[in-house]
Amino acid sequence: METLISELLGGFVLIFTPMYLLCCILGILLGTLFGSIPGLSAIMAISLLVPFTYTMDPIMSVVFLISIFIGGLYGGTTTGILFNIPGDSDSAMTALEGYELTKKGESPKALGFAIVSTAFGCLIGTIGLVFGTNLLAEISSFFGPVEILGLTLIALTSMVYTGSNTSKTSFAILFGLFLSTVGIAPLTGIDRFTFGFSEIQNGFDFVPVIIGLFAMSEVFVKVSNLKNSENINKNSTKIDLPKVREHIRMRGTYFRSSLIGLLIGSLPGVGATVASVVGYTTEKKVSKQKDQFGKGVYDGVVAPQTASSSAAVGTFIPLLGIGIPGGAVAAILIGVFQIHGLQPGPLLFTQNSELVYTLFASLFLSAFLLFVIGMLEVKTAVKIMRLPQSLIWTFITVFSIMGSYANSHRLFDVWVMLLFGIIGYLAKKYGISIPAMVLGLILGPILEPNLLRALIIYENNPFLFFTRPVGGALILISIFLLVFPVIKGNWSKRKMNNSSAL
Amino acid sequence: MSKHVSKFLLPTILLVLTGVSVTRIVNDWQAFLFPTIVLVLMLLTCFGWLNNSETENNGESLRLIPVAVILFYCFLLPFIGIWLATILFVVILQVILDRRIKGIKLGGSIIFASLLIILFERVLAVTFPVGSLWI
Repeated sequence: METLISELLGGFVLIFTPMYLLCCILGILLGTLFGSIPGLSAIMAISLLVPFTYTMDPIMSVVFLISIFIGGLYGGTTTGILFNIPGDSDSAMTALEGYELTKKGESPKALGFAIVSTAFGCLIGTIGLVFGTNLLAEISSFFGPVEILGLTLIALTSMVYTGSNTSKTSFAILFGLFLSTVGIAPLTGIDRFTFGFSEIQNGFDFVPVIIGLFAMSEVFVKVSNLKNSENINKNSTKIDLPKVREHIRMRGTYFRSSLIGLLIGSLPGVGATVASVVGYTTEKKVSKQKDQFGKGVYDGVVAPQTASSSAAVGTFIPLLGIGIPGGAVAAILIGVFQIHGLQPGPLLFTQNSELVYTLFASLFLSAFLLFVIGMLEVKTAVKIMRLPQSLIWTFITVFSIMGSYANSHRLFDVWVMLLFGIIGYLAKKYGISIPAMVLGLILGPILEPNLLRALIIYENNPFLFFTRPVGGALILISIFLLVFPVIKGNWSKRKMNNSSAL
Repeated sequence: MSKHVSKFLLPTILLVLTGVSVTRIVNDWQAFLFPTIVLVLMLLTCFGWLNNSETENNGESLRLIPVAVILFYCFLLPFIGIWLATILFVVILQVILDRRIKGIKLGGSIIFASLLIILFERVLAVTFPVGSLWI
């Protein structure tokens, strides 16, 4: 405990040096702005700005990208509450109730509650992260290939049911896994699916792929006019911070939702969107004003927003503790860690403890800064939303092309980015989850070598994996996660048929 | 139309890749076991999804196809170079997004895009390939 506090204090000392502080402020500012512009998102900002972190030291680059992520948690909410245009899926539940409040003319207070909920969710998420990661890192040092295989399978199978269509989400995960197999095979060193392109012998470069999938695909969506520009009404852009006693009255909602979010976020692969839905529905069940939900009630803003913010930070628990990302942003961060020659997981605590504790300190600071910057940001975001569309999309296009080129100064990477832009466009067109694709792409290089190592250890007999109690249990959990919803669906269908026959 | 193409194209590509993977698994199972499992599962989920899919109307326009062709072609030509290809794409975007095109807006976008490219050149020390019009 003493070591933890002293290391954390060391992180705070570093984060308050001018350059790190500037990165943190800039990151939150960019995250809130990107998050609040429909069509753009914090994850797109992270993808586009990864090339700018090449010249930064690893700690600064991680602090910068995490600050963008934290900023984005609130950014998507502002336009959701004001114009019913949520910036991302995480803030859709908040927008549901928030926009109803806007229609009643209560948007300033709804925005006030949203910003406090985001900061509170982040704070609880970070506290959970500090203790949870340390615990997980200690446990995971005893993990072998079977246990890691089981955990990776849990991350993948939990993602299957997060989308609206199970087949499409499964396809996205498998497509990501397939993409990860392109290049030299682990353990054997044989070329796979490179089709003579020497540039992809080490697999697809991560940066052009994520820029293509998240940013360029959105440019293609604009070009093909899949989405029409939303009309921006002239709603109030004021924020009215609720009084302390109003927050105290809602203390149950704050704590309940943040704990729900933290638990869901810490499960690999589930993420903040599920947490916001669970947070909202739980609150609806326990609230005294059940009948007011859907008509505009503050608890309906606080619950999903706190849960999603807490879950978003919670996704870093499996990332830092065992090196398995809990969501798409955590998956991108794995790529950033690898660019700087770092391997997330238990070893990070012994080899780069400074980075881990500065990251924790930056999250605490970001929760506070978000509160301050978020108060000032709403007006700017609305002004940016009214800028000519061509200016915003010129910015995205140039950043996408130059960002992928800057990676290794090869035109080949620009082609890869454009190709993945088209893939991302098709995915959006057919409703296939891009975060699931990225998770598959990141988890593939963890899953495959551990599967092969486990097979070698257990003489090519996968049934012997179950002789490892923890590893076997984890594999069984992943099978259960995959099969249970199918059985449950069939069972309820049969029950319905029986009742209609009667 | 695109739906019908995808209904045949995607399973065909997957079948070809699975075939490639399966034929090579005999010689080197360690390298091709994982891709084969993934491809077979992909094929199954793909059939499941295509069988249950309904006709979707997303208000799609076909103008992405010529834009994508021009874009890929520009980046393939060595003498055009990355800078001009980027500016060309920005012009196409401007024409598509602002229906009533104005010279001043177009010029503004080109200058803005060039400034962003210069920013990249300075901040990330990006050097452009020899033979491009940038140099």
